[in-house]
Amino acid sequence: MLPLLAVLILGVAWEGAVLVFEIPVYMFPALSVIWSEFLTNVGLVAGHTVATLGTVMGGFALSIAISVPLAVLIASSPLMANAIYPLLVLTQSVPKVALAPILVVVLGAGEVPRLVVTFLVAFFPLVTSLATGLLTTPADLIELGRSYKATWWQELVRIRFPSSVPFMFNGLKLAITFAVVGATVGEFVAADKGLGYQIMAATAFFNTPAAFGALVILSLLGIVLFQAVVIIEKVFFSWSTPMEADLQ
Amino acid sequence: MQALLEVSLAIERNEFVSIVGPSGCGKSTLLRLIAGLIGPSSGKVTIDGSAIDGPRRDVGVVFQAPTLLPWANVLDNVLFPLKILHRLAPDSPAKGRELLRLVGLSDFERKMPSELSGGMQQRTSICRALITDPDILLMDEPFGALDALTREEMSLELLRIWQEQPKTIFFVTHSVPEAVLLADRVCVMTARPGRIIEIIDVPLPRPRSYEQESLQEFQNCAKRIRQHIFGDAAASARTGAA
Amino acid sequence: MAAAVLVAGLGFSTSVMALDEVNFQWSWIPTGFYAPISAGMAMGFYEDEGIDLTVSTGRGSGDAVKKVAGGGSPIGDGDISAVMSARAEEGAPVKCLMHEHNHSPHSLFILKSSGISHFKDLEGKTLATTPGNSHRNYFPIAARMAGLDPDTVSWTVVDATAMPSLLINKRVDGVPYFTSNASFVEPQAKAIGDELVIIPFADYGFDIYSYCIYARDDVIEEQSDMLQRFLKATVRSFVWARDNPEEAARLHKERWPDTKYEDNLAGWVDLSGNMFGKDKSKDWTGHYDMAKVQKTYDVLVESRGLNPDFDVTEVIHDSLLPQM
Repeated sequence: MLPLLAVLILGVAWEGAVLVFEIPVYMFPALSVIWSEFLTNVGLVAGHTVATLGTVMGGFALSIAISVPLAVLIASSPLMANAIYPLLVLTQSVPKVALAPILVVVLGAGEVPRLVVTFLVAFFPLVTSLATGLLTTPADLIELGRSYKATWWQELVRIRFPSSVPFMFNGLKLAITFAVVGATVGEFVAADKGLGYQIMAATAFFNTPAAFGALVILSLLGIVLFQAVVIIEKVFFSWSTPMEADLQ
Repeated sequence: MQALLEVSLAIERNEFVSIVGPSGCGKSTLLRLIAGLIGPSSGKVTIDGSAIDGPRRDVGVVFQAPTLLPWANVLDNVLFPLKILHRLAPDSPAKGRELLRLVGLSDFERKMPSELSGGMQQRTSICRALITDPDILLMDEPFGALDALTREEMSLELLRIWQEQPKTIFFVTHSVPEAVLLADRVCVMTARPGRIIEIIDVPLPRPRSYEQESLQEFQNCAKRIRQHIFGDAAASARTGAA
Repeated sequence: MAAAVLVAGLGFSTSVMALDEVNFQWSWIPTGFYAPISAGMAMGFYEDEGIDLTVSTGRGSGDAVKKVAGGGSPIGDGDISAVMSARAEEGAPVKCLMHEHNHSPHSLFILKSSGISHFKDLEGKTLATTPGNSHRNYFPIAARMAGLDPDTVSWTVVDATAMPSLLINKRVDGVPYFTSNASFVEPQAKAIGDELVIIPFADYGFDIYSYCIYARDDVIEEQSDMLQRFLKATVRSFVWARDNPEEAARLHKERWPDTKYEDNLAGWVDLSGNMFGKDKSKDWTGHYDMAKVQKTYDVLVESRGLNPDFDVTEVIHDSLLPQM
C-alpha cells in the first residue's frame, strides 16, 4: 500500500510542478500529456516494448548461459579466479556505449550486437555472486558429500549449486535490472525498434512526451521483471528466502 | 603440527566405544581418520584388516552439527547418501520412512530442516547416517549442540537404535556421564599431543538408563576418567559436587 | 498438370532468387529526409532493379561511415565531411557515389523578435551549440564570408534537447540547425507568438557539399553492377518524390509509424528544395563538381585541421550514376 501511495504522491507532485512552474513540454512534459500521447500510440509502444523485452530476455538468458560455467571455472581454483577476474573487470570498465558500434561492425546490424551489449552489461553481478556462492558453500556440507565419496560433479550439482541459490538470485535480480539497461544501450546505438530506439527517435523528432512515455514503460519493465525474479525465488526456492521476508 | 601421538585402539564388531577428552586432544581427528576424510601422516587405520584410504561405504558419519541440506525436506535429506552412492532403489523411501519412525519423526518427512528443532535435525542426520546400513557408525559429538534434556533423551534413543540395529559405534563426546552410560569401553584421551591414556571397561548391565548414574560402578568409571583429564584433586572435588 | 505447376513454381522461385539483398545504412533516424527511399521501396523501384533493399537507422554520420567501412552494410549515407575525415585521417575504404544536398543545409535559427536578419547583426550575441556540432566548426568560415568577425560571437555548449528551449526562452540569440529541422522548431516559436527566421550559411557563399550516398571500396570494385542499379532506383525515387511529396511522406509514415506525416513532408520538401530548387527548376543529377568537392575539403582543412595534401578525387566515385 505504501509504495503505491508513494508513486501516487510522486505523480501528483510531477503534474503540479509542471503546471505551477510552467515547464515547457519539450523540457519536462506533464504526466497527463505523456498519458494522452501514450494512449494515441498504444499499438506502437506495445511493439517497441515487445522488441525490448525480447532483447532483455535474450540477453538475460545469454548471461545465465555464460555466467554459470564461468562461475564454476572461477570457483574451481584460485589460479583460475586470478586469471579470469581481471578480464571480467575489464569488460565492466569498458564503456558499453563506446563498444556497441564496434560490435555492430563485427557482428552485423541484427539482434546479435544488442544481445551482446545486454549480456556485457548484465552478466557481471551474476558471475561474481554465483562464484561467491559456490566458494562459500558451508564446509560441513562439502565434508558430508566427501564422506560419501561424492564426485566433483555430484558435489557441484547436489551441494554447491543448491547451496548457491540465494547468492544466484541476488545476482539474477541485479542481472535482470541491468539487462534492461543493456538492451536500452544497445537500442540507442543500433536498432530500428525497441523502447531505447523510441526514446532516441522521439527526442530527435522533438516528441518529448513520447520519449518520456517510453522512459516510464522502461522503468515499469525493469520493476516488473525484477519482481518476477523475486516471485520465482519465493515460489520455487522458498527455503532460500529468510522467514522475515514472508512476514512483511 | 602433530595432532595425534601413538594412538593404538582395537574395536570389536558391534562394540560401542566412547572417546572422551578435553578440547584439542585429537578425538575428532581420530574420527576423521577412521572416516577416511583425512589420511594419517604415519601409521595406519584398518577396518577388517584393510587399510583405510578414503571414505568407505560401510561407514556412516554423524557430525556435531546436523549438516542437513537446507533445500531438501527431511526424507530427501535422509535419502541423500543413497543418491550420491547411486543406490537409490524403489524401496529406499520406505526404508527412509522406517528410520524416521524409529526416531519419532514419522510426521515430519515433508518438513524442511528450518522447520525442525535442533534435536529433530540431529535425529534426521542420524537417520541419514543409518540409511546406507553401515557396519560402523562414527559420531562426532552428535549431541553437543543440544540442550541437556534433549541430550539425555537422544542418547537413550541411540541405545535403542543400536539395540535394534547392532553395529560398531565410535562415539566422540566431551560429556563424561554420556560416555560412560553409552559405551562398552571408554577411551580417555589427553591433549597436546593427543594420545590415549587409558581404555576403561564399563561393567554396567544393559539395557542402560540414567538411573544407573547412581551405581558405584558408574561412579568409579566416571571418577577414573576425570582423574585422567583433570588430575586427582579436581576429579574428587567434581565427583563430590555431582 | 502436376508437372506444369512444378515448372511454374521453379520459375517463380528463381526470379525471387535473382534479387540482390542489400542493406542501406542510414546515418540518422527515419526523418522526412528519407521519405524518397521509403517511397521507392514501397513503389517497387528497387525490386525493378533486382534489389531487395533493407535499411538500418543510424546514429550520426560518423557512426554510419564506421558501420559501412567496417563491413556491416555495403552502402550508407551521411555528411561528406564524415566520409572525407574517415578516408583522409584513417584510410577508411569509403567513397561517395552521389550527392544529395546541392549546397550545405547548415543554418542558424533565430527568433524574428530579436531583430537579427543577417550574420553581421550577431556581433556580441550568444549562440548555443551541442558538443561536436559541425555548425560550430563551419560558422567562423561562413561568418567571415558574411563580413562578421567570428570572435565577436560567444557560444554556450548545451545538450541537444535543451537547444530549442534556450532559443524560445531567449536565453541565447540563435541556435544552429539543418534547415530541415524548421518544422520541429517553428510550432514552438509560433506558440509564444513569435516567428522563426532561418539564415542558411549558404546565403553567404558557404557553398559546400553535405549529405551523400557512399559505398565501400570492395563493393565498388566487385559489385558495381548492383551499385549502378541501386543508384538508378534511388535517383528514380528522388525524382518521383519530388513530383509526389505528399505521397512520399505518407509512404514513409507507413513504413515508420513513429514519424509524423507533417514532419515527413516538411523534411522532404526542405531536401527537395535543396536538391531541385524550391520551384523544382534545378537539374539535380547527384554528380559532383570537383572544384566544389575541393572547396568542401578546404573547409574541413580549415575547420578541423585535416591533412591539406589529401587528394579529394580519392573520395569521389560518381561514374556509376545514371546519366540524366
